[in-house]
Amino acid sequence: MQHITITTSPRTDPFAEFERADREVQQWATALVRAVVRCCRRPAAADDVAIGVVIDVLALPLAAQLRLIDEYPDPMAYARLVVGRALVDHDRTERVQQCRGARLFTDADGTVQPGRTWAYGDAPVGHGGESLFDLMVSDADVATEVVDRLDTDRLLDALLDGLDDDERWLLTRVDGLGQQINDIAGEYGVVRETLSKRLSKIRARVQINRERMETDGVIPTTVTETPALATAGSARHGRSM
Amino acid sequence: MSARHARVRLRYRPASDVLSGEIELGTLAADDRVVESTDSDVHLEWRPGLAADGLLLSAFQLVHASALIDSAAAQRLPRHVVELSRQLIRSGAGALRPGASAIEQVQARADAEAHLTVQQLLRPADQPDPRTPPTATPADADQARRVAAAIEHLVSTIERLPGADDDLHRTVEFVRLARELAAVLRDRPGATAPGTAAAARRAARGGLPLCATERSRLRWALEAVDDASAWPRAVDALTALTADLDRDGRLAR
Repeated sequence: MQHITITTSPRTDPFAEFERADREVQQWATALVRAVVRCCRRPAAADDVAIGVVIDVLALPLAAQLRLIDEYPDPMAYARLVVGRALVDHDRTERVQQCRGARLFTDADGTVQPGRTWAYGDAPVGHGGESLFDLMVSDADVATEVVDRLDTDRLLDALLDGLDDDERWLLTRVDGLGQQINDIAGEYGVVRETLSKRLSKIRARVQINRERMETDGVIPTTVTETPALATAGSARHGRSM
Repeated sequence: MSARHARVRLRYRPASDVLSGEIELGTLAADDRVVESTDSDVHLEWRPGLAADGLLLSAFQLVHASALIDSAAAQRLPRHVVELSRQLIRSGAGALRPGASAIEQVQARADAEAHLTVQQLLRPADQPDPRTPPTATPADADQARRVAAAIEHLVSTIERLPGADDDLHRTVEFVRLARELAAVLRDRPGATAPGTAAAARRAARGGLPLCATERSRLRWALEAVDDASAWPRAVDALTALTADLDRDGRLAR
């Protein structure tokens, strides 16, 4: 008679497995908060940025969270990867909420500053230091402190002359509201480069309008940079979109 | 904020043990900002006082705050701020609800607000001016890597000791903190991590599969990690402890 040996694998308790995975995720997430805070080194922003980064992770399905932990067992490595973009997003959100426009770039030393204000829609109006996009995103009375609302609308119209509604909306989303070009490209179902090229043409058109307005004396001449310098500046800052 | 008072706002995240604070100094201080970030766990920002001689605290963040607040590293903060922070940390633990989801745990927080006088926000007189360059030569990246490697070697040895499962929670907590310490030291070479080291020492108090002498040696070595100039001694101590644990034939292979 033939002997048959049957071996069985030990039974695993699915609930215990889930609890173990959940605990592992929780420990990694709390360590990630600390890691992001260490990377940020900006007390005013660090807490918000850290919680935002961790919630993005915790919103993923459990399997995706575990894959992430597997890929980045050291939370510091993941924090280093995401914190730059998270800081820029945080600052953009704050600027938009404060009606201050949204185009920002992170400098090499970690400070954040408005980007290329001379070239595009986010251009200074007069001597108040405010910008057209500041006024455009703001429905509050802040606009009247700088320039009369009608003047603002007129200036904005002149600046965006020749652009159709879609082009104005695209420029507003990217330069005014600080949305990511990758996200918008995904929404339209096109690749990033397609939108980038379109945006470059729109910005070039705005620049021509701006130069014409300066020549006509409609807005004061504030350009001190040459386009070549601005291009170098953009390469230095890196495009955050 | 009154003429001589500033509003202090503190926020504590008990799950991650991070405390941050902002002080609205307004016209009490100049706009210049002096950033003091000599280690990985304490970040302080000061502004030269206009209403008083000296630097006034304008913002800070502490990582592993509950362990750090009683350590020497916290003495760089004004005493009143330390006291406020200590109270918030003590009460903040209550914000953690048992059985809460991971998101709820991470988001749990305790806030505090107080008005302190300019004098209460002054940098302690016995602390060196952060604007003067440090006299000690910073430890190099190689030393940081050696300390981190020694910690990781010790941790993996402790994990394999018989009895490590007896009080699994304590062992896991220590191992997690020690690994974090190694990662932080490696991440920013030359910078210490007094908060993480203090948290690891606290976790090494009991429940580990070590005898009292071994625990004491472990805690001494972790104390040496707080001083970058003592890192060679810390490496020796950690390596010797690992070798002794290994030599005793106690490892569960």
